[in-house]
Amino acid sequence: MSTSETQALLLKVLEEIIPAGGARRMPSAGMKAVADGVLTATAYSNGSPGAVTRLLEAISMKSPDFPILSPDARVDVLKVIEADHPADFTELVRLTYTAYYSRPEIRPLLGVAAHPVHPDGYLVEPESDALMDELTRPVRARGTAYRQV
Amino acid sequence: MTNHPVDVLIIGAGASGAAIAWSLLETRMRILCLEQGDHLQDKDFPSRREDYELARYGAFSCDPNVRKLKQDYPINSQDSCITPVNWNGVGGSTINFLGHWPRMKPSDFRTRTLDGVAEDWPVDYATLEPFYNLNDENTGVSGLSGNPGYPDYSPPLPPIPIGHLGQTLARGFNKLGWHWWPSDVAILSKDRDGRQKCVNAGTCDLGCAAGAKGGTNFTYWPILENAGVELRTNSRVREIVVDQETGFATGVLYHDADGKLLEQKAELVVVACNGVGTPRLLLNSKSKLFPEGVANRSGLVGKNLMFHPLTGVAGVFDEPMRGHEGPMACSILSQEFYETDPSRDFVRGYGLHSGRSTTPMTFALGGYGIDNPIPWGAKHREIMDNVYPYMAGLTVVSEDLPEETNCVSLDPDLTDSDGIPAPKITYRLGDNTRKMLRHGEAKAGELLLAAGAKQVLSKGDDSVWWRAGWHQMGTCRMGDDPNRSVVNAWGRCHDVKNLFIVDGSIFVTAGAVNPTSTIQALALYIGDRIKTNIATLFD
Ligand SMILES: Cc1cc2nc3c(=O)[nH]c(=O)nc-3n(C[C@H](O)[C@H](O)[C@H](O)COP(=O)(O)OP(=O)(O)OC[C@H]3O[C@@H](n4cnc5c(N)ncnc54)[C@H](O)[C@@H]3O)c2cc1C
Ligand code: SF4
Repeated sequence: MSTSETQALLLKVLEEIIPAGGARRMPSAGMKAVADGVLTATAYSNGSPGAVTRLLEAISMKSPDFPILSPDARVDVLKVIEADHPADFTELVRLTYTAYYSRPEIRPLLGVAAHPVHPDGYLVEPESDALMDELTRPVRARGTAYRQV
Repeated sequence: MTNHPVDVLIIGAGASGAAIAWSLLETRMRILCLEQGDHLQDKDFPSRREDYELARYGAFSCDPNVRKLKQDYPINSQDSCITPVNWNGVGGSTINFLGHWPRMKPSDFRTRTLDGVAEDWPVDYATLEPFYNLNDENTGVSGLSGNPGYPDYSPPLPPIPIGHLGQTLARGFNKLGWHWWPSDVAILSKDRDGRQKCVNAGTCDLGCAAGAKGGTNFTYWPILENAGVELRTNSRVREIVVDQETGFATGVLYHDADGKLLEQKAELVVVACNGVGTPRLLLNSKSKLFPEGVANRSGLVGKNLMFHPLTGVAGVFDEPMRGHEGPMACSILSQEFYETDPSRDFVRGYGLHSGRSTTPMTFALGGYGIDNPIPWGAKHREIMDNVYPYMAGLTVVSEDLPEETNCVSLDPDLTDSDGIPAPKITYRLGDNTRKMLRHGEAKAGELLLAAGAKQVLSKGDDSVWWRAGWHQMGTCRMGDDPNRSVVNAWGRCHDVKNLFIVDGSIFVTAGAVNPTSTIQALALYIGDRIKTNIATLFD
């Protein structure tokens, strides 16, 4: 496969690994930046080097028209590929999650800061003394909770 | 080549090596620490980088077999259901530890007398208490005093926020009438000694760029280096050398950054390489006098390896739990099931720790310490949208009883980059632990429902977290009987009178709490004993 064919096929595969949608209107993983991330990472993957290339070849052999299939049909093909190549498929899933969730535009959709968390971090208000007192009162009321030796 | 001899040579610049160096500072002896890793520079903290989460799966993994950095040694864990994790460098594993700081309880030191299992320690809680307090001051520990789960003590700083997640779980515990308390943490709730208070970034395993976490890279080492303790980094000790006539240690052979083999002589040698690194070093130090490894006449070096096997249970709530805000491990801790209860089918007990959640990537990859990605496709969308943000979890942290068959030995083939034989772990879960984990899983589920979870997610099988080998204990245990222990009641090897061990390997039992506050309290106690006994130290 040429590089552009590989890219195009990978984008369609990624669309099904993490599909778009949901209440948070999440985009699918089928975006160029994620595909680039997956391809870069696969080169030095700890798990199974070359997994993505092998899988893409297997998919194009099994289903040459994969990119134009319906989403349901694509998922069916991927399930067969997963059963035939479990280790490589797990590696593709790992790399997809890694590349997708490290995108600065994705993290905030799930409530996490887009950019490095230090030095700013998050503001979490300390509990007031009154609240802590109220919460711990029942525990204190029960008295000693360790074995005396 | 030989370096100038020193009075005290400490091997390992982690939690225990730093604490004992601090204790011995006032003796004005010449102290040298050899550490196989280096300082972590400010620019190298991953949480300052855009790709900070990726570091968790590469150069900042807690697993040395994944990291494979120059200073790391490989560990063969094929015969174990848990693999040890660590950091090798100044600060040791306190670089990537999570700062959870519970103490052991009085009963932990008396399991033979109270429950007929394992052995009693030759020290007790009351003896260690002043050293716990001292170490808490030195480290900057935050917590709430008045915990009925312990003899009375007061952490030096107020607690860090337990957050919405902690409050929700606390109300569940109260509903069931079970013990819980805000976790003691080696994390600053206020600025202190030039260190910044915690900013709740939740990346404690990636080193704490704020300096809020009480890693010894931020607490003890700056003081020690200022006071003239020599910290020689990139220096990997190959072997402890023993005079074959006198039976005393004369020093060590170590490799410098270029792999060159050097000798360092010392009057007193202190080993602080952790529960895996220490037995490895002792077993690698063979001589005519000690053909099975130095200080190993009992045959117990490397034996009785204990971890804290864990499993997790999660509840899915109606509102977002914002679990990624705040230190990773520590919100609240329940010790309702910590002590032995004869009505249960196991002895000793476990803690229920409320971890916070992690970032989306780590969650999707299976959670911290787990390599088991969540499903792909429509199920993925469902989990990330409807579970991840609403989740609060409890970790069941069980006491592990010592068994001689659980051990660290030397791998016949595997070596580090200097050709030193690597450790091999042989470990299986004991029946008692299995029963405890099952009980804990059920109780955690009960609690989460009481706290308002609409769904409880638990594995319901016997598997434990693979990368949960955070706590490594027992492999050179303390005791009064030289046939049943490696070191005496104050860390001195029975067989070599100027060789001390101060790390987690000297634990007799594991308790069901994170060990580092006890490891450091013990190191300070041993330092104190050395000072007290200085005139007759080697008798
Ligand atoms: C991810 C993670 C999370 C954790 N979370 C917690 C927690 O929340 N609470 C808690 O109490 N504990 C926690 N721990 C455990 C805690 O970090 C350890 O208990 C503690 O650091 C052990 O102290 P130590 O002195 O025994 O060894 P370490 O701190 O591991 O230090 C040993 C040092 O010895 C060096 N060394 C080893 N062999 C040699 C050699 N041959 N030559 C020279 N140097 C050598 C190593 O490079 C290392 O720096 C965690 C650990 C990890 C990895
Ligand atoms: S959450 Fe707090 S302790 Fe943890 S890394 Fe961030 S600032 Fe440090």
